[in-house]
Amino acid sequence: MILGLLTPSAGSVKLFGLSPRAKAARAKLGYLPELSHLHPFLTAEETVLYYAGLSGMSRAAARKRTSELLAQVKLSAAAKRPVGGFSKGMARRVAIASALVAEPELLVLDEPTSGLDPIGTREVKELITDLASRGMTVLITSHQLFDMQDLCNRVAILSNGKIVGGGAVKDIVEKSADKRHALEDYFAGVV
Amino acid sequence: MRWRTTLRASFDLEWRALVRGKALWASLAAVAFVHWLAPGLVRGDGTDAGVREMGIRLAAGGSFAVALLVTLAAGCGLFAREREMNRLGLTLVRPAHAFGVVTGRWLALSLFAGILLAFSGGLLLCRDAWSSTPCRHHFAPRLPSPMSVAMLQYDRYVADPNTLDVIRKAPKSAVLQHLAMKENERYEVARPGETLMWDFGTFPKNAVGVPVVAIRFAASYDMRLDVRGTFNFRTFGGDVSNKTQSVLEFPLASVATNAGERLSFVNRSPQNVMVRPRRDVELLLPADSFALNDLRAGVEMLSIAMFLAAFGMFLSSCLSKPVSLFTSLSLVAVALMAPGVVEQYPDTFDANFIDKTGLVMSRFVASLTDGLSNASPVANLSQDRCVEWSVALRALATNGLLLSAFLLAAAAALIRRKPR
Repeated sequence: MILGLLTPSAGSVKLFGLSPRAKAARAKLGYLPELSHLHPFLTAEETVLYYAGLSGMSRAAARKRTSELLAQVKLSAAAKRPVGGFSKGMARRVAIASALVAEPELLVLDEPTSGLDPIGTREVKELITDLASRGMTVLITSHQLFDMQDLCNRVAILSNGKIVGGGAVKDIVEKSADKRHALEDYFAGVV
Repeated sequence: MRWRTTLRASFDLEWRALVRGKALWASLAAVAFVHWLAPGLVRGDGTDAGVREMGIRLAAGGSFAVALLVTLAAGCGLFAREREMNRLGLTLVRPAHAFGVVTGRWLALSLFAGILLAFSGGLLLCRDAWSSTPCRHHFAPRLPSPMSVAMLQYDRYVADPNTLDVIRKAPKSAVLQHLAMKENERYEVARPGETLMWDFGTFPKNAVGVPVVAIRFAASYDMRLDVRGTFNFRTFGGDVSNKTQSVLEFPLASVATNAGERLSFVNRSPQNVMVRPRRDVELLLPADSFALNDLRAGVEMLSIAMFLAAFGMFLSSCLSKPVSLFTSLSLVAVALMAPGVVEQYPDTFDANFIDKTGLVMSRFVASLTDGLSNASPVANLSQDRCVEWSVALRALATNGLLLSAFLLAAAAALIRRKPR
C-alpha cells in the first residue's frame, strides 16, 4: 500500500503528503522486493540503467549515477556481466543499486537479507547502514529480527495486519535481560 | 521527456530480451527454413504459374504465420511473466508512465515482427522465377452494396407467395442478411445473342496500358461448355472463346468505336452463359513491380502483427501466459473461420438452436474482425494482385496504430490494477 501497488480496503496512505500513486511521491521512493528476479539477459549496468530510464533520468545522468552506484555496491568489476550468472548476494546488490538509482528519500526494503549467505548478509547490512548514515529514510520489513536489531532505530511489530508493539530499538534492548536477543524476546512477548 | 525515457528504457529492455533470449535468431531461422521448404512442398496445377502461386503462398504465408505466432506468444507472455517473477511491481513503483512502459515494449515486438517479415520479403525477391512478374490493379464493376439491394427487394420478397413461411416469419435483419448473401451470389444470364453489361466507371480515365478482362463464365449444372462472344469497353474490344468454369484473362485490343464506361459482353454461343457480377468479372491493369507489391503486402502483414502483439499484451496484463495464449489463439482461429462460416451458412432459418447461436456468434466475430480477417496480403501477393498503398496504409493506421493504441491504453490501465 505504501508503494501504491495495493489499494487499502479502509483508511488511506500518504507518502510525502501525497497519494502513493502520485508520480511526485513515487519519484522520491526506492523499493527492493523480497524476491528480486532481475532480467537475466541484462548486465548489471543495463539493469540499473533500465530502472534509471523508468525514473525519467537522462541517459548521461543515468550513466554517471549507475557507475557510482555499482562502485558503491562493489560491483564495478562485474558491471558488464549478465545478472543471470550472478550469485544471490550479487543480484541483491544490483537490485539495491536499482532501487537507489533515482536518489530516493525513502527506501523500502522487503526482507533485504533473506536467502543471503553470512557474507552477503553482512555486505547488505553495511550498505543499509551506510545509506541511513547519509540521511536516507530506510523502511525495512523483515523476519530476521537479529539483523533488524543491528540495523534499525525504530521497529513496529505487525501481527494479523495490526501493529501490536514497537518503539525505539535502544529502549527495547535496555529493558531486555538478554541484550543479544532483545528484539526476538520482545517479539515473542507481544505476539 | 520522462515519457520518452520510459519508452526508450522499455523498448531497450524488450529488444534485448528478444535478441539475447534467442527469439529473434530462432524465428529468422524458422522463416529461412519455411522458404527453403516451400518449393519442395508445392503440388501445383501443372503450370509454372500455378507452381509459382502456390510457392509464394506457402513461403510468404508460412513466414507470416511464424511472425504472427511468435509475436503473439511473446506479447501474451510479456506482463504475465513480469508479474510471475515479481518484476511488475518493481516497474510500477517508479514514476514511469504505464502507457510508456507498455508502448516501448510493444514497439520492440513490432520491430521484431517487422524484421521477420522484411527477411521473408527479401527471400521472396531472391527467387527470380517468383519475383519477375509485375502486379496488376484489379477493378470490380461498380454495383450497389448487397445490403442496399436486399433492402430494396425486402418488401416484394416477403410478400411473394413463393417465399417460405419460415423466412416470412423471420426477423427483418435475418431476411436482409439472407437477401444480401443471395445478391452476392447472383448470376446474370445471357441467352444466345444477348448482351451483359457492367459499369466500370472506376477504371482510370488516363490508364496506361491495355485493360485485361478477367472473367469466369458458368453454365447450368456446372457443365464445361464452349463460350464465344465479344467484349467492348471504351475504345477497346475483342472476340473471345473459352470453356465455362475456367478463368479467362483476355487483353483487349484497340477498336474504332467507343463503347463507353460499361464493359459489355455479347454472347455468341449457342447456349446460355452465366456470370456472377460480384465475383466473376474484373478489369485488370498493369501496376508495378513484384518488389513494390511485396513491400506493400509486408506493410499490411506488419499491421496485423502489430495488432496481435498489442492484443497479446492486453491479455497478459490481466491473465497468465497459458490463459492469454489459449484465449488469443482461440479468438484468432474464430476470427479466421468466421467469414467462411458466414459465407457457407448464409441463413439461420432452418438451423437448430445451437447452430443458430453459432451463426450469430460467427457473424458478430466476423463483423468485429472484418478488417483483419478480410486482409489477404499473402493471397494478393501470390496472385499478383496489387496491394494498393491506400489499403496497406489504412491497415497500418487502423490495425497497427489506432486499435493497437486502444489495447495498449487498456493494458496500461490493467497492469496498474493487477501488479501482482
